[in-house]
Amino acid sequence: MTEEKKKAAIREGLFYFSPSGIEPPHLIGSRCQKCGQTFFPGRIQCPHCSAKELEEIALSAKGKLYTYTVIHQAPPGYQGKTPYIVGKVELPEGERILAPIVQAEPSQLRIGMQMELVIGKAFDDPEKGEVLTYQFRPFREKE
Amino acid sequence: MKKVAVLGVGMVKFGRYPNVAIEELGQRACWAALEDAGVEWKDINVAFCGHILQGSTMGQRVFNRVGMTGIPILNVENACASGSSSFIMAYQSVASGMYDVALALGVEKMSFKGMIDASRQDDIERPLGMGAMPTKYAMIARRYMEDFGLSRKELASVSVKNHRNSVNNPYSQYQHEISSEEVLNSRMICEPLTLYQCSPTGDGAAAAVLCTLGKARRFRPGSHVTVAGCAMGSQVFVQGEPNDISEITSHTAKRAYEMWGSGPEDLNVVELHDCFTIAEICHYEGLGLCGKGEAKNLLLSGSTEIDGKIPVNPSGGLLSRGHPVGATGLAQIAEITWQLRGQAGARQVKGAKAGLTHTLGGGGGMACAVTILTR
Repeated sequence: MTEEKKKAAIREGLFYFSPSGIEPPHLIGSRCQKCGQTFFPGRIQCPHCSAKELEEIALSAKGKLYTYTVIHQAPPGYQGKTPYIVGKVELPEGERILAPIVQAEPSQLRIGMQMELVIGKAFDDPEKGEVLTYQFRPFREKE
Repeated sequence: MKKVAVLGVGMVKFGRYPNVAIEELGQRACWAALEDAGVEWKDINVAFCGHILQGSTMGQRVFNRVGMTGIPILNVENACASGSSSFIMAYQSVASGMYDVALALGVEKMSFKGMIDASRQDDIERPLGMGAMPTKYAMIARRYMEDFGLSRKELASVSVKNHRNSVNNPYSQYQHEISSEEVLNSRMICEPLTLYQCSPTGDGAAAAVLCTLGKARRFRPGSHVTVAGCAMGSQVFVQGEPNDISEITSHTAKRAYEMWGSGPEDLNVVELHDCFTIAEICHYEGLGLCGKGEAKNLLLSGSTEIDGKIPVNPSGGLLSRGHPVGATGLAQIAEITWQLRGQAGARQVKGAKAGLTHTLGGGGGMACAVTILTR
């Protein structure tokens, strides 16, 4: 009998994904019902107009690479290999998501290129098991 | 509102002091400022201490070594704008008429700490290694280079300029020139920012004594450096960009210029927040020294050299003078004061009459502080 490896999201409520992969993942954000601004992570009060009427929304899973950097000297607390790539992906809703950029060599990245959301391992936690996070990779058309 | 004079300034040379207590560094900065002002601790009515990392009641721990007179002491934390915020608090105390003489101190000891963690969300950004300052600024650099055609060499030249300026600053942490090649070949931190494009960690302290202009003239006849304008600011909501460094700088500077009644074209010298090379580039635009996208031309034309049209960071800036975070804002005040008095030695900007200081701190939120001094 094989034991399914324990998995946990890096924080609850940030993204939806189906372990079987049947449905594509999406980020969970908020939209202010008064002024229309969108936020990720979600909020209970709008920092733009201070309204408390916000609705939970599924954010687009594709966006443009707004900027990125390759990190050679990791800051304290980082749990992964170095060097690694971090970037901001601008979604059509307007929000720019700060996220790990994966499945790409730095030389393949271009500002403005289409990126897609993936859910992948951030690190292993002794109690929680495999900790999962949202990441972006270059979007490649399926053949 | 009363007119406020900067009666005295002083600082300790920024650097590494593993065997000197931060309280002693602060005390020495106080001595230097009090002596320059020609006053004693008993003359101070209120004191402020800006710092980020030193723990509770840091101000009291310094000032108690200088004198214990029971005056109100406040500790001010605003990330890298802590020292400037401390100064502006001191200014407001005197300008309001509530106190006659105020002392503003900035201190920081970073010898035992590494990179400043600017994570907005500890549980996400920290383990994913996304929250540190070099990361944030490296991404700003990449985008700026893409949008405005700035090359790596051009970006690095900010560090070359500021290190060259610091050769003539005895208070600077580093006092030697470095070449463009040395900057570009230094250890890569976050692309494109190499080690020498990031301000160093270090220890230091700086202080200023402020009083009403009337009282300053009674202490010492003659002309005095005065606070012509100042402003503090925090972020305005910008969709998708919680850490926009230009917007907060421009709206804060705008209010300082309005208070002064003049604009960037009338400045003679600037000390701005070059925590990374790209920051200086962006702040040329944010402070209105040039238009959007024109920072590269301003830099490459030599306009921001000490003998240029609008010298920037004659002290060596954060990049070379150092950035013990809470102390920086007051080191900038000291530099501009010396420049306006003609006391800046070989790094003197000729005929400086109006100078601006600018700091920008960012952690979970952002704080900006701009002051304009004239003489």
